[in-house]
Parts: sequence; C-alpha cells; structure tokens
Amino acid sequence: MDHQQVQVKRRTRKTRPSVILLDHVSRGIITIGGIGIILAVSLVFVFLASVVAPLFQQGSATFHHSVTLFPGAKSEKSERWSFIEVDSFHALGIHGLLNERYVQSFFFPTGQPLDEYLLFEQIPRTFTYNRETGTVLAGFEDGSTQAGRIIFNSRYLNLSDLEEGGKKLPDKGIFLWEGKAALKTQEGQLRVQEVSIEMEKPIKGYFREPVVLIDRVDRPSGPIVAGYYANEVLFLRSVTKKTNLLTGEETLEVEEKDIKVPVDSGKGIPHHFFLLGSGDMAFLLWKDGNFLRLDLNLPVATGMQGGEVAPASPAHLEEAKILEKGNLFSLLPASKKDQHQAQITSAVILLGRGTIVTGDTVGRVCSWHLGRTGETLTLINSHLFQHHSEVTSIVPSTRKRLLAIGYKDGSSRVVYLTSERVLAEVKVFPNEPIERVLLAPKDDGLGGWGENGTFAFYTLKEGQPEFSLKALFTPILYEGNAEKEHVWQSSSGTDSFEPKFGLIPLIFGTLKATFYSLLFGVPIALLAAIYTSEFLHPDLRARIKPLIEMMASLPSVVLGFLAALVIAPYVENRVPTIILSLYCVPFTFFLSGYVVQLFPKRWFVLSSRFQFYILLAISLPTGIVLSIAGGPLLERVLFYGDLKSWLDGQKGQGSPGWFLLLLPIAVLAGGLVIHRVTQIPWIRTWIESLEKRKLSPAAVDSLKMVASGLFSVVVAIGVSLTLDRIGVDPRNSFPLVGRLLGTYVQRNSLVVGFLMGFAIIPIIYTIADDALKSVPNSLRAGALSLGATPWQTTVRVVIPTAMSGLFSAVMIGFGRAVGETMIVLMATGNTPIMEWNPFNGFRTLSANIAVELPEAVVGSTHYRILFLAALTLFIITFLVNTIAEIQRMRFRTRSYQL
Amino acid sequence: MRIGRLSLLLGLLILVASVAMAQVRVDPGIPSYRQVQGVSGNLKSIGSDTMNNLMALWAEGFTKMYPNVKIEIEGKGSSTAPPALIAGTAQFGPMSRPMKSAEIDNFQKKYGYPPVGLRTAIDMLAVFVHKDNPIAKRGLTLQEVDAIFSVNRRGGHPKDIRTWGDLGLTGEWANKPIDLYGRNAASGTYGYFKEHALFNGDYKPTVKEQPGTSSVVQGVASDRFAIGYGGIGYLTADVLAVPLAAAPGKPYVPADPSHAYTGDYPLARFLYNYVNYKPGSQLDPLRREFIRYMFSREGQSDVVKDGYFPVTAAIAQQELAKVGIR
Repeated sequence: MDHQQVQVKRRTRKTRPSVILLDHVSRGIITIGGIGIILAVSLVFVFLASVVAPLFQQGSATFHHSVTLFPGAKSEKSERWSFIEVDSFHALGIHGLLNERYVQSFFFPTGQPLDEYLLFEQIPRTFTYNRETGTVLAGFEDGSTQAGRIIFNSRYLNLSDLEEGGKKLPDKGIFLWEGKAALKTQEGQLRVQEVSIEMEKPIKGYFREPVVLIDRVDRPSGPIVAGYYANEVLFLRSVTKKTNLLTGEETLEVEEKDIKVPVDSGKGIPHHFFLLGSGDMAFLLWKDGNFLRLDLNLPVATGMQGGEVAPASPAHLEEAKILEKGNLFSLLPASKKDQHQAQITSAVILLGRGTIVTGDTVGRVCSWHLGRTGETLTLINSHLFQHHSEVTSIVPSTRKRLLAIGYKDGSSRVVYLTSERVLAEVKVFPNEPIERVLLAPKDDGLGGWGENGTFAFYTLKEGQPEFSLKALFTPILYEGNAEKEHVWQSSSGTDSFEPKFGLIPLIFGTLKATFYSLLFGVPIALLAAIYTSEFLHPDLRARIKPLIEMMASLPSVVLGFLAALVIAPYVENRVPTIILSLYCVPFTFFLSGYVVQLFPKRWFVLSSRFQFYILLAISLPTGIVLSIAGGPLLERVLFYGDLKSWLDGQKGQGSPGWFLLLLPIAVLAGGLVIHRVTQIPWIRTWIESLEKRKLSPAAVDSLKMVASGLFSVVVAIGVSLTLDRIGVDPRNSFPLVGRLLGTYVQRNSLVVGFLMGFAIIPIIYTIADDALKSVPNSLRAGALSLGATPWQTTVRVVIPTAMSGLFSAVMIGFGRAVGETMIVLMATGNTPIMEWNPFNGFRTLSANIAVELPEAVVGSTHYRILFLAALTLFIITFLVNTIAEIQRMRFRTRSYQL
Repeated sequence: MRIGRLSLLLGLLILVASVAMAQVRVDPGIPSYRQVQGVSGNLKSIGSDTMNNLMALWAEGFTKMYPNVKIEIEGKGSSTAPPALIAGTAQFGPMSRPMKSAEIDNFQKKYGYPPVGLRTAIDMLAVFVHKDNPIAKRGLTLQEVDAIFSVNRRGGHPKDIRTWGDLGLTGEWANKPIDLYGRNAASGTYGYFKEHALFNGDYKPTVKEQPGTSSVVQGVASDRFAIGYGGIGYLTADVLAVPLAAAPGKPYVPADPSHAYTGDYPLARFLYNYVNYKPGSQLDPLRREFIRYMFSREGQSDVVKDGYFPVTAAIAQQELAKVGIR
C-alpha cells in the first residue's frame, strides 16, 4: 500500500456532451429499428390473419318479407309439378301449376300477379325444369313430348330517356314501372326484368302410351331427351348439331331409339328418373330406395336431317343393359341404416349431372355418385346430413354444390356438400310443412312456400361454403372417386366443377422440396466451409470464398430456367451415370486420401502443398470417368438393363433400389463398427504387432478402410435381400410417404434439389465459415501443440465450439429452401402428388400461391385459402426459426466461456 | 413490253400470295380498316396466354397506324381477365373460354351490367405429340384423350391409359409411360379442355402444369414420350397435332384449315375478347377503333398470321353490333 500522493495534471474525466448525445441518438435509432422490425413482422402476420379470418364466418339467413301466393289452391298442388323461381335481382318471380298448363309471373316483393303465360296445349303427365338452362320439358298422355325455355331477361334503358330523367322513381329497391319489375343500376340506367318463354313444337312418340317420366341433358353438341312410357319402354332422342361457320349451314343428326327396361314385375313405375353424365346412363329410382342404372348405348349416327327413323315394333325391342341394381338404403353406412324402411320423398340431380341427392322420411339428405373401384363403377354414398324432420323439398344451386332443403316441421336449411357444412338454418313456418323451397340464382336468397300459400323470403349470406378445416386437411370423398383422398385442384373453367382444396399435398410438396435441397446443399456447404477454413491454404481460401459467394448472386429464375431447359433433358438421358456419380465421386475423394497416405514420406510431404489441386485435377475427373464407364454397367447388372422401366415397376425385384438407398447408411454404420472393433483390446494388440512387422500405419489404415467398405457392402446387400424376402419394395406405396422410388419423370426433384442446392449453398457456406473463423486461434494452437492432428482438432475442438453458428447456418438455409418459389415453379411440373420419390415432381405452397393468386377473384374463398397457405408457410418458418434460435442459444452458452 | 413484264410480275406475286394463303383466307365480306383521326391513349390487355401473340400482332398493327397509342399486353391465363376487368386495370380481357357465371356475377355486382364477349377468332385446340410419335399417323378418340389425361374417365373409356402400349403402339413405345404436359388452372385452355375433352372430369395429378402453351410445346418437343394440349397457333416443327375423333367409330379429323369451319373437329372453339361496354352507350374512340381493327381485314389477317382461323363476315358484323358499332 503506497500512500504517496502522486501529483498529476488534472484531466477532465467527463465525456464530451456531443458524444453522450450521439450515444443516446444512436441507441434510440437502433431501438426504433429493432422495434420496427418486430412491428413489421407482426403486421404481416396480422394482415395475413385478417384476410384468412373471414373463412371461419358462418353463413346466415335474415328474414326479408312474407307474402301470400295462391290462396286456397292447396288441393290442386302436386309437388312434382308446381315450381317457383325468382330472377337474380329478386324482382320478378314465376310460379306454375302445370296441371293448369300456365306459368304466372309476379312482382316478387309483394306477390302481385303480373302476366300469365301458356306453356302447353294439353295437361302434362310429367314435367322437369332445369334451373341451369331454363329448359322445361313435359311428357303427355298421348306419348308426345314438348320442350321449351323460360328465361329471365334484363332490358336496359337510360334514365335520361325516361320522363323527368327518372327522378320520380325510387333510387333504391325494386319497384313497378309500366307493369314490369324494375330497378335502378349504379351506372344511371333502369333495368327492367322480363320473362321470355320460347316453346318448341310437340314431338310425337312412337307408342301411344303416356310418358310418365322424362329427362334431358344438354351436351355441347346438342340435347338428349329420354322418356319413360307407361309400358316400361324407354325412348331416347339424341340431336347432334354441327354448324358450318363459313356457310352458316346447320346439320342436325337425329338418333332415336326405343329400348325395353328390364323392370321386375310388380315394382310399378319408378318415381324418379335421371340421365347421368352426358346422357349415356339412365337412373331409375323407386320410393322404397330400389334403383336401376341402365346403359343407354347411343346408336350409331344415321345422318338424317331432322327426320324420324323408322321405329321398331314392340316385339323387336332390345333390352337395356343393366349396369347396377340395388337399394340405396343398403349402401348407407351401417349406423345410418333403418330398421323400418324409410321412404324417399324427393330426389334431385346436381349440376354437372354426376351426383344425385335424395331426401327421405327420416330426415336424411344423402348424396350419391359413381365411384370407380378397379374397372367397375358403383354407386357410393358420399355425404349425409341428418335432421329430425321429414324432408319435403330439395333445390340444388346452379352455381356450386349447394342445396336448399325444406322440412316437414317448417324449417329450412342451406348446406354445402363437399365440406359438409350447414351454412344457414331457419324456421320458416312454426307449424306448417314447407311445400317447396326456393333458392335464388346467385345463392343469395332462400324462400319457403307453405301449404297454405304463404311464401316467406330470407336473404342468404353463404359465407365461405367451400372452406372447413376438415375439407382442407383431411381426406375427402370427391365426386367421381371411390375413396377419400387428398386432392388439390382448386379451379376450372366451368361452373359445375367441384373445387378441391386439400392443402396436405402442398405441405407434403414443400417438405419434399426442402428435404431434397437440404440433402444436397447442407453436406456440401458445411463440409466446404470446414475444409476452406481449416485445411485450405490461406491464399487459396481468399480466392475461393468470393467465388462461392458469387453463386448467391445467380437469380433463381435463371437457375429454374437452366434446370428445366438444360439440365433436366441432359440428366434424363444419363440417369444411371448421374446416380453412380453420387456414390463414385465422394468415394474417389476418400480413396485418394488413403492412396496419398501410402506414398513414401518424401512424396507425401511434397504433395501436401498441392492437396487441393490433386483433389481437383486427379480425384474429381477419376470419379467422373468411373461413373461414366460404370453407369451402363450398373444399369445392366443391377437394373436388368433398363433403369426407367425398373423404376416404373415393370420388371424386377426391389433389392437394387434398397441397396442404393441403404448404402450411405451402411457405410456410416460400417465405419462406426470398424472403429469400435479396433478398440477391442486383443484386436488392438494384433494391429500393433502388425505395425511392428514393417507394415506402415498407413497400410493398416487402408486395410481398416477396405474392411469397413466390405462390411458395409455386405450389410447393405444383406438388408436389401431380406427386405425383398419380406416383400417390401421401395416402389410400393407406404402409408405416410407414398412411393420411395417410382416412375421417372423429366422434371424431377433430383434436378430441382441440385439447383436449389445452388441457391442455398452460398448462404450456409458464408455463415458457417464465419462461425468457424470466430473460434479463437488459441484453441487450435493448444490442441495442435498437444499432439492432435488437424483432423482431430477440427472435429473435436473447433466444430463443437462453432456448433451454434453452424446450426444457425443450416436453419437459415432451411428458411430459404422452404420459401423458394421461382426454381420450383419453373423446374418442376407443379404436380400435387404425395410421393417421396426423388424421380418425380411436387407442388409447393409457395409455387402454388405464385401460380394461382393472379386468377383468384379478390375476396373469394379460393383467394382466402391461398392466403391461408401463405400463413401456414409463415408459421412454419417462424416456428422453425424460433426453435433453431433456442437451440443456438443453448449451444452458445456452452461455448461462451471460451 | 414494260406492261407485259409488270403484269407477269404481278401475276407471279398473286400466285405466290394465293398459294401461301390458299389454305386459310379471310372472308372477302370483311371490310378493310379505315383510319380515323384523334385516336390516342393507353390500352392494357390482361388475360389469355393462348391469345398472347394474337394481341401482340393486333397491337403492332394498331400502333403502326396510331403512333400515339401505347398498348401493354399481359397473358398469364384466361382466369386473370375477369378480376382485371372488374378492377378496371385492363380495358380488354382476352379469354380462350367463355366467362363463368360466377365471374359474370362479380362483374355485374360492380357495374350493374354484364361484360360483353366478342368472338374474335377460331381456334382448334390441338393435342400435341413429339414428331417421332407414330400415334399422329392414326389419331385419338376423345374418349382415349380423356383416359390419358383424367382420373375419372367420365367419357366412358373402359381402362386407364398409362403407357403408349395401352394405345396400341408397339416396339420401343410399348412400355414407355406417357409423360403429361398441360396448363395451369388460370388458363382458359385448361378449363376448355377439362370441359370438352375430359367431360368435366379431373386431371391426373401427374399432369405437369406449364405457365404457357409455348412451354407445353417446348416440353413435348424435348421429351419423346410426352403428350400435351394447346392452341393450334403454337404448333412448331418439332411437334405434331394428333387427328381427333369425336367418338369411337367416327372419323379422325386432323387439325388443319380445311376442317376449321365445318364443325367436324371436336375441339374447335372461339377465342373471346371481353370488354366493359355499358349497354346503349358509345365506346370511347380508342377502344372502338381497336375493336374495329380486330374485325377488319387487316386484323383477321393477323389472326391467320398467328396460326388461328379468322371469323366470317357474318360473325364479325354480329360482334360489332354487340358493342354498338355501325
């Protein structure tokens, strides 16, 4: 302790105010920046969530008005013949009592009758009305049929042309103008709604029997009409229209046929009749659930112009071929079958004519479609909606697979089939059954017509009917399929399409893309970083590092373009060579290390300066030459001469595939095993005795390598043959991952993985290199001075220290791979398949959004589901990065003390 | 002597021109385009990829006459046209399929009247195969095309077609799986093909989705065992268009000009151009003149140049009347 006071010149120990100010300002800016980043990311999340949130909205039906139509006409009505329809603007309605042959148009808001239109000359025996096309079709007692069209038309008048510029007319809402329903548009025009009815001439049938059932399909080339006579004969009339555009000439090919329906006697006349698909199948349904599906082999063209073919006499009628016969109730799932048989009260066919919907007395509404099991088509129950009251009326939508259902207890429901959601439910009448339910053309209105003539109308908000978590994430039974499947096929050019929003194939594709790109990119990048930072001469390192970082500047579009147009066709012709090179090239590098070890000392020391060049100029070409030479040999020996047909499953066992898949694992296992074996005391002493007998350590080392190589090959062969014996083939479909190896497709994940590796290697390399460089040199010096070899130093000292940096490098690479869009978009076929096969493509969430967003209508369900996909990607990346960061922190605390 | 030589030259020119155009001719009833004054401004067209080159040719011809007009064309698929027309970001929406009712509804919700679709050209949607493929010599029925491309086979073909051998090809083609190329869901060609060739069934998930018909043709040209579909205007020397039959037993109709107008080719369709036209109003000069140009002799010759087929004079007059021209 020195008590001497030392006199020194006083210096101010205060910091200058400007420095303090700068300090505060910069701290403030950085804090704002940091908080700003957090805010920005949260805002992205909030925006995505706000677009997705309306998906979970429920539909609703709000009461609009109630009027009386047809007071006291209850006794005349028969539910199959009366119908009620409204136009798209809820201004003009029509209803018909066809046993009076008229339709009546009325002003929809008040029910005031407007005009009467005569449709048929005689009272129809049977009648159908197609809401989609507006076609009416009737069959009469004398065997003739008549078709026509009822459509709503809009006429536009400029307000300026009306008296006083239309100011007297109400601005909002529907009103009567000159005896017609009219409303104003946003563009300053008056829209007048009218009904137009065009009836064709009645067509006489061959038999003078009443036509009891009738249906019609409008194909693009012309209509097919089928009718069922009371004497159990089916008549078909198909008209094919061809228009010569140059001359304007129309040729009509009319084909007519009468066939006998093989109905069991005593069953009577069926109650419902539909033409399925494009009119090639007929479906007959009885009230007790019995059905008959017939093949209507359309006859060969006769090429007549509008005439009639000489009809066959009843004795010579051919019988229709029965495709399927059974009872609908027996096809229901066991839990829903009834002890006492229910009766079918109504049946309709949905748009697209592929699905039939039936309602019965126990309140079930079931949908049925044809599904293919193997080569045969059978009727399958796809959806079921249960209610406690009897179904009285079903009306399908003309836009989507939506149904409005009316029940006996006066309630009404709107359901969407694919997602099995009940969109709205209202009690229209407290204690009166609904005779007929009404669905407005744009699915924005629901109405119920009661027995007493009361008609109540509700405005319908359907919400987002196609969406439900079940529809997106679980397998669904879609129309035309026999089994539940994950499918993504979101839109099409027609209205009758069933949108399929299965997100699982996309998530699977994203994982597959990430897996293959990381499989290729991570080992190369990490090993390259370790090599350049630990083993490479500093001069060379300074030149190589910028080269690798330049790889990052390649735009991903160019990489995708190269992959699709240059690399994919190149690889397609040389698949065995490429596969072999994946094994050969690392092997030759390995081998060259051992070979150099065996050199005499002087050569070894001299060559150590040229390590890198030896590897580049000798090992790499040798590996490539070996694979070029060995490729055809591999194909001939292992794959029966044709790799692509082996992959396709056309020949051979699965063992060659297993061998190639298991070889890397076997090599690792072999190395570990040999390492352990040589530690066993008596083996160790034996090896040391070998070394004493003039066998250099290098030779012993090489012997060890040969031993482990042989061991791994034997193990791989053994395991693959065993798997073969069990019957497990990589080309078979496994439960979660699909096929491990399968048909070769030009645009496959191997090529894409290679190029996505190009995109992520520079990122991982840079960060890993920085992490390795940040390990203090003192550690390396210490290890080396204690006698460790450079390899031992690297593996046991440097890498564990830099682990946190290496890990975060891989995680950043992962983040980049998950979000990569352009390469995937251009180089794969964007096929939404669920197979782990590296030889075919995939469809990722990011590429899907890029492809489909421009065509999705803003605010539609499709649009919101794409945003949901974006939100899913965001959450996946967020979660992975968070977990990675937590892990990285843990690694850091371990090496922090250093 | 001079006149003789001139007339010989003229005759030769006409002969050459007529040989070149002998296959497809513009209807002589369609008038030539007459230039007017005062046309300038910007036009933007968003929509069909099939009609991309066609719009570019029309734009080129139009701007040659009116240098003050700037036209931007974007062709990412027909389904991109309705949202663009509704939002007002485009004045023209070329589509290779008619608008769906939902799209018309959305438009009507905003403007109060439906959009007007003008039929501007005729296309024969072709099924392309590699030029070495022997199936092009025989042809395919629509049912076979359906079985090749779809999972449901609603056309009625009994079995799935997976390899070229399933179609009856032998030799090296017998066991090779068919490589499928198609368009993505934004495309009108995708929707049209699904409706008419797949009978409203679903595509197989292995159909590779390409962004444009030129990529489909490029994919088929570089892959021997490939098959794809697209507008006939994109036909190149490396691929062949397969003759199609409407049903088994009907004759195979090739996709060549002699069958374009007869109605025999099963996948013949109109190429539409949708505009926002308020009924009863007058179009602004820029759009009016462009539409007039499309339906003039020069415009329809551009259609021929692009590989599609021109409309007849009767259709042209009908379409012009739809937007209140003449």
